[in-house]
Amino acid sequence: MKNRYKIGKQKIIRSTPQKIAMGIVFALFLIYSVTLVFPFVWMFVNSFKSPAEFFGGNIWGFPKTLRIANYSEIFVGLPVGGADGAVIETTVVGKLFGATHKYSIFEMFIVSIALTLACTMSNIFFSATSSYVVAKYRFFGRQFIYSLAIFLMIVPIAGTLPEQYALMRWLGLEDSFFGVFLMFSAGFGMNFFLMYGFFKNISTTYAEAARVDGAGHIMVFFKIMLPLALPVIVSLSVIYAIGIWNDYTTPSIYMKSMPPLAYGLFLIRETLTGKGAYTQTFAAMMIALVPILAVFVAFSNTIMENTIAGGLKG
Amino acid sequence: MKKKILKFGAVLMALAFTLTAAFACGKNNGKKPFAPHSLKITFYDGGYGRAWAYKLAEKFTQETGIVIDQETGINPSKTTTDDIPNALANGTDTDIFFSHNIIWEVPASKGQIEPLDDLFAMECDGKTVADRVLPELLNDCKLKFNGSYYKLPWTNGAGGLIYNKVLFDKYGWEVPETYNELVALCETIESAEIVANPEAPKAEQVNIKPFAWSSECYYWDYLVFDWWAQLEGVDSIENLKKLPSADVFDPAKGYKFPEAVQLWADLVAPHEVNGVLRDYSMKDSSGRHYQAAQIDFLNGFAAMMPNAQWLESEMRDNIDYEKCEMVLMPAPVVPGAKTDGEGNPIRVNYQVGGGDSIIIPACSVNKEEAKQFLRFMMREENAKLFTERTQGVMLGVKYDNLDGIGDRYLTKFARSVFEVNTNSRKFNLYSQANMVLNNKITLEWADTGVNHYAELYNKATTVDAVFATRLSDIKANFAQWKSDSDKVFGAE
Amino acid sequence: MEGTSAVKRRKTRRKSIYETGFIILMLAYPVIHFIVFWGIVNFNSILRTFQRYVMWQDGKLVNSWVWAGLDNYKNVWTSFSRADTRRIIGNSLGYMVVSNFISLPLAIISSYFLFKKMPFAKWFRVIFFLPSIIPIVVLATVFRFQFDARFGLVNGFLNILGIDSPSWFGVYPNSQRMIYLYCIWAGLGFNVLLLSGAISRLPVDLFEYSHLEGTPYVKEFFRIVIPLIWPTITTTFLLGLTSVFGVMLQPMMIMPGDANTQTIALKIYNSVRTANETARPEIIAFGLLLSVMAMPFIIAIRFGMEKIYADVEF
Repeated sequence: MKNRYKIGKQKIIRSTPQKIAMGIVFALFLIYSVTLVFPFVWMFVNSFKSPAEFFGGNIWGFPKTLRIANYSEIFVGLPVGGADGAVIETTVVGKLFGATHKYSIFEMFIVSIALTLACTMSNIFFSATSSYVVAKYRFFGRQFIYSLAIFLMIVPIAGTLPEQYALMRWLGLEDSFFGVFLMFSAGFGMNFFLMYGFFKNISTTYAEAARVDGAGHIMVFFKIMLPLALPVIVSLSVIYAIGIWNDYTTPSIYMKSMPPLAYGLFLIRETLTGKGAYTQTFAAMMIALVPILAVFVAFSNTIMENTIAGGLKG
Repeated sequence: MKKKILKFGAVLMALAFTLTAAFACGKNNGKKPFAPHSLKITFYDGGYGRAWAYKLAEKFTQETGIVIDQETGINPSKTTTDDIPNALANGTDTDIFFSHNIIWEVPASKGQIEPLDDLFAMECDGKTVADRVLPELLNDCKLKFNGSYYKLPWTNGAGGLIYNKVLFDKYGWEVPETYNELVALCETIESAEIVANPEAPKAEQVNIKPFAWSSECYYWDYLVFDWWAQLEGVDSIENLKKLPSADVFDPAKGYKFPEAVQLWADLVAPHEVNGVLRDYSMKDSSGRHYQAAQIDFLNGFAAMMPNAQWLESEMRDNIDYEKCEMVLMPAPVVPGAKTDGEGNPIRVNYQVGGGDSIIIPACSVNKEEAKQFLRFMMREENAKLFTERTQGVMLGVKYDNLDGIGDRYLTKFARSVFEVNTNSRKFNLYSQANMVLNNKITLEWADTGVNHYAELYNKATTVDAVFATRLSDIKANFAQWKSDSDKVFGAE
Repeated sequence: MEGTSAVKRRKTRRKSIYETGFIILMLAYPVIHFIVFWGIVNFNSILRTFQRYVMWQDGKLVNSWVWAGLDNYKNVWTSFSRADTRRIIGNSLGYMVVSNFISLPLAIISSYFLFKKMPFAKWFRVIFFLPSIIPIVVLATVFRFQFDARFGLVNGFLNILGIDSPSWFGVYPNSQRMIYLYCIWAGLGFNVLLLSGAISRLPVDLFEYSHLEGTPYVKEFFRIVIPLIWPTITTTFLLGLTSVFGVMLQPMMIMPGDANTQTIALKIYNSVRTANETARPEIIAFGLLLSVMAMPFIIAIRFGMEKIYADVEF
């Protein structure tokens, strides 16, 4: 954290081999970037075509007529193609909390936002409490907790999913928002280590000063330590939130009747491609991507500058 | 800056807790007891579409006054089949499930499925419900351990090769009746080198191929199983389903499935014809999405496609009847097929989805109403309504004819499905043998989920190798699998 | 750093009780959570592997779990000689090889070049990270669609060049290789982010000398960068090891329903989604046995890697 390597304005001196190496790698990066971006541009363009136009052969060109319905239909609800015409599933916002399996993309967004916020905050908070205590206090079992946490992180134990499910069922949480929230509110994961590293190295001067002023342990933690850790907390939160936002596995088991976006998109894809509506599938995916990209652009500096993995000592 | 972040964090936290609270209260784990006398049905949202459910529900409500709400009472789901075992165990507000193949015997044994003996004895079209069910499916509705009925069959599935009548008419191709005619037809189509998409740029033009298919689905099975049954006879396959010994999988003792697969490989895997390498399938058939293959078939890129009864209904949004009018052909007769007393080949047809089930969860609060609905659905006129709204899919009940189905639904395809179902001896590969219930063995292929057609098509393996490995594996493990399974389900 | 606690030790007994209370308060939730969601789940899992479900016996309904001794483990052990089991394990090990010996080195090299003031380095970092924020359903759909024989970009591109494209997903092991390729394509950015973070924290003076002298990149890379970011590399490597037991979404999304590309985690996941309970003990035993077999290797690798370079962290 001390001497950040500043990307300054001084002249960069490169030898010829270095220039060549840099050139080659730059070209490779460019190609790789194109493979990452171009498919989405292609998807965006095709999301405005009718299936007939797309499958009829216009795969590469711009749409001849813009089929906005690809988007609007998803916003109102998915059409139920029927032999006797379409029944439209209405997905009014008022139905948000009761509806099941209706695949409304709005619902999924709201569920995703709620899940991401709730899980991230609880996980970060409990990781902070546990890592702070383990890093800053001496007590019986401290070393044991730390070693156990390391062990758990690097040694995966496979095969426990069925019993985890059985436990959730026993708790009556096998299909609920709260159950998933509970599962993610753990205090001994990756975030524990990253915050442990931070608290370990943080200066205690402030804390001691505050304690002299009569502040208690809780005060010190909330008023001094947490604010000091804020940059770390923000960056960890963003990374962790991305993980929750994109988590498919957990909701596909424990939140079936209330799918968040990552899992719900799968259901949407199956529904649409199942009847050949590829271009509309693209539209649904674009709708899902836009807010994610917006948030990402807003936070990209935070993410890019604050992320650290560090070593697992102990 | 820091204050801003703190404020932002506080707002986020407030939002998170509000939303969490809202969800925690608003949702009852799906166990919310539905209003009594108002049914909820959940069905697999696949190729049959949804229109049938809305239509039947509407008619049922009109007739009986029992409410099936068009919005909340009808629940199409992509994941029903996967969800059912857990839904039955955990509780559900669904009153009737329509699903693909599930091992229903386990939840039935645990008392999680409502027994339907009384339903089967109820009056229906002047007979009983049991009389209405197709005889070859009736026995599979019974739990072999206690002899009670627990399910109704869903459909009387028909599959095989579906051809594009528009292309056949245009180019004067004859529908093949024998395997050898099919072989010759493929060569005719291939050697004609007709451009399928003349309007496309030169580089993207491709010729019409005999077959469009994808290895994502096992649709070739529907043709190859028919060939197997033609060669071995349905009775022998019925015996195999009971798994009396490992010998039923021994080609030396009359097991003909490998021979049927070999016939397929000889035709479809790339091979030389008169010194020219022939591949009758669209490019990269084994590696494509099944929907992509289906769309190509609809657009006239291929003459035939292995598929089943749901194809027209599944793709209805994309069908241009000028380009494709689909018809299910009876399985061409292979050399060596069994014949009847008069020397005519016995027509057989594999019952696609023979294990599909309609069940009532034991926790349903509307069991009687649910049974009323099922009885209603089993009546011939309502079965026809199902067929109408699925464009040709038939329920697993007896149909005398297709009279009364609206003309615009009674397509050539629907008629061809009816013809195949009516004039063939139907068989399926659904079994209640202990080893099958215990996931120790599968009746068709060794490694379920591995697409052997793709492997054979790409010459990654040979038919002999596939079945030799399977036979030795079965012989080595049969006794162990049997004893393991008998420990769970009792001696057979 | 541990001054506070040392100081506290000399304080009054009452304060010490207060401190103990604080520690308990801070740790209570994370520890209880751990005991419930890890402890109970693992204990039940182990117990389950020694049981068998008896449903019917002599025509009577039994419906209960009974002691089965080592039967489940014996069956799992025999299954190791079967081709399908070996393939599942082989596929899973492949992810470890791909992530640790292809993705990770690529990410280190990429991070190094980005750090060496490559033009548009910031843009590249952001673009590379894009796949990490996009739901896997979208990514996998896009990826696979690009290789479709008629609609795909890749095949279209190869077609223009006059190259006949192979069957990318048509046959194993091609399909498996394509999934590995997907993992590299989609996963590089996240590692680049972690490693760039580590490199940018290195003290600037270490590089100044080499800049002036025009030290070859290779030398600087191996002499300075690698040793100094070793802790981060170790962590990333260890996380890569866990992919053996963790990867399931990639094959599930790219090759749905395909048994050839199954992994350990996917097999277990499917058992929870669909299979009946009578088959579960064997699947749990399968997972546990493999985990136990892997444990010594993982621990050995961890200690081995820590020994390679002296412990430094910036």
